[in-house]
Amino acid sequence: MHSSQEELLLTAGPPPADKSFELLFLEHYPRLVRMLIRLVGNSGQAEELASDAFYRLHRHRNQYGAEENPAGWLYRTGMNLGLDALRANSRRVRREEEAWQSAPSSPPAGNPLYQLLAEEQRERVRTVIARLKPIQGQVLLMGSSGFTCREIAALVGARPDSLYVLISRARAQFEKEYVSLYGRTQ
Amino acid sequence: MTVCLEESDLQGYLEESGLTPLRQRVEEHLVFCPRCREAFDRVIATHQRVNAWLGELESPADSVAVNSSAALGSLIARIEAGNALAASAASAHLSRLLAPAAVEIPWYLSLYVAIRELIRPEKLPPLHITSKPMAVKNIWGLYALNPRSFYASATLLGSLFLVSMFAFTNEAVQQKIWESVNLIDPQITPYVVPEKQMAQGGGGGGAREVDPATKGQAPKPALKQFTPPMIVNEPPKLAMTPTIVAPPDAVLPQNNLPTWGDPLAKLTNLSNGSGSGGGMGNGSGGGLGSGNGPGFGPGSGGGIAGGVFKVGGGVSRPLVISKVDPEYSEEARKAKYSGNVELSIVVDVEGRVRDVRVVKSLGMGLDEKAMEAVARWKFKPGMKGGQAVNVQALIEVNFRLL
Repeated sequence: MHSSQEELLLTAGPPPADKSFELLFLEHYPRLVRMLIRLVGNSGQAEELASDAFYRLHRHRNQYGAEENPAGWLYRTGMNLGLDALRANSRRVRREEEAWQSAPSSPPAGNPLYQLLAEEQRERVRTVIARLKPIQGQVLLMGSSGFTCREIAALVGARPDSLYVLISRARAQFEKEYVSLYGRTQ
Repeated sequence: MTVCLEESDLQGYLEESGLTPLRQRVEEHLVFCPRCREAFDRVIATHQRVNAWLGELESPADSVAVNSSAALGSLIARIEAGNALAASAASAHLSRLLAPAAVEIPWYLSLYVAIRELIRPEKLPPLHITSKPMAVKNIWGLYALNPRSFYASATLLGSLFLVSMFAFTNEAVQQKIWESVNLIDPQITPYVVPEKQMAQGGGGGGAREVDPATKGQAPKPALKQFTPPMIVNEPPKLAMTPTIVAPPDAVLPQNNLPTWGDPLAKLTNLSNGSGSGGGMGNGSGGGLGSGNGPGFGPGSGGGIAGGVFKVGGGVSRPLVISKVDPEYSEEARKAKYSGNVELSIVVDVEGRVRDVRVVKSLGMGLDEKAMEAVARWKFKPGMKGGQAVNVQALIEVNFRLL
């Protein structure tokens, strides 16, 4: 026998998205998608991952990290989701999907050989990012996506001098990993 | 003296733009610090290379327009759908857990039904059994005693025991095991009642005469001697029966001769013998025979039958005054070998140890170590009749490793 209170509890669930969440979404969604496009190399997948990150933020909005710094939690979650997708996707599958999506509508502009080499180079960079610590890959991707140091420090939750150390070590580690994988000539 | 720049300073110089205090400080320091300039060059090189690699990530996909409004709409729809799904799932789960309303009856009604069934139970239709019991195989049949398994197990365990005893121990222990096996004596000798422990010793005497001591009657043994046995020409004014020092219950050879003398002598020539110090015989010390002391026969210190005194029969036990602990031999220490060594010693009248010999051996150099240590012990000598005498004793030396 259900009481009225039990019925209320069962049907209540989380409250719908409020205004602040919408503002957060409109401010950070495009930037998160841009960052994830650089990470996974696919705009559709990047939008799915960004949406998934916002969905998780809404579900866990009362947790400690998400409540204190929702934007930082959002980018960290998006970065982790992107790294998971990067490791899960095989290079061959993504290339086939891109060829299937782009070939019928718009043939590739420019020299196909150059495009292939450029895509191969991007794959190398993504492979190296996947081998870094997530926080290192995040600050490097943010830096290359147009975030200022002040913005990165606020999203990461670090002081500027700590951020500089973090960036410096991320760059050094990136170079070390890249050279160990592909050599210095590249 | 200015402190050199840190890693964060160099990186901050590259990340910041404009004329900031950090950039000013870095520029001023780099002018006169070659070490920091070298580090700065390395940071710049890494910065440029990594930026070039990261720049490769720019692709045509970056220019794709992002429709935030549509994405927000789909996200809100997803959130609401997720909420509804969670609510319906929880409701269905709870409805399965809770009993229907028709099932729940008031307590008094339930009590009435229970009492009624207890007093007048409901008659049920007879039970029709459609199956018949049948014999099944004994479940223990698979585990009956199998002699082959028993012997195989016993052989295996015995082999493991032997291997563990002989293959996984060091050579010293293996050798010791073999030695102990060889020492077993299968012959069982008949039980003999041990003889009563008696003091041993001896004595001798004489009066520096040419002839050997005469044959005669041995005097009584006593714990203290006042007059030695001698043939005197003049009878003493205060007559006293001569004695020799020996346990009072000691048995001496006897004869019926009228004079005192050595009962084992050959001649009856009325001589006290060629010895000295009173008594009779060719020894010294007021006794009878060839020994040294107031006893009888060879030996010294009193008593009969030669040798030294043993504890008992009026002879007190020597007491240890100072002792030296024995050392472990290197071989026994490596083998972690322990046990007891039993030594026979003679404690002389000055409390020193002599005539050390091993009664129960332990081996591995421990016997020698025990003898070396015991030879340096000091004793309060054993006493007999208020006098220190040589006493034989047994010493047990323990060797234990902590």
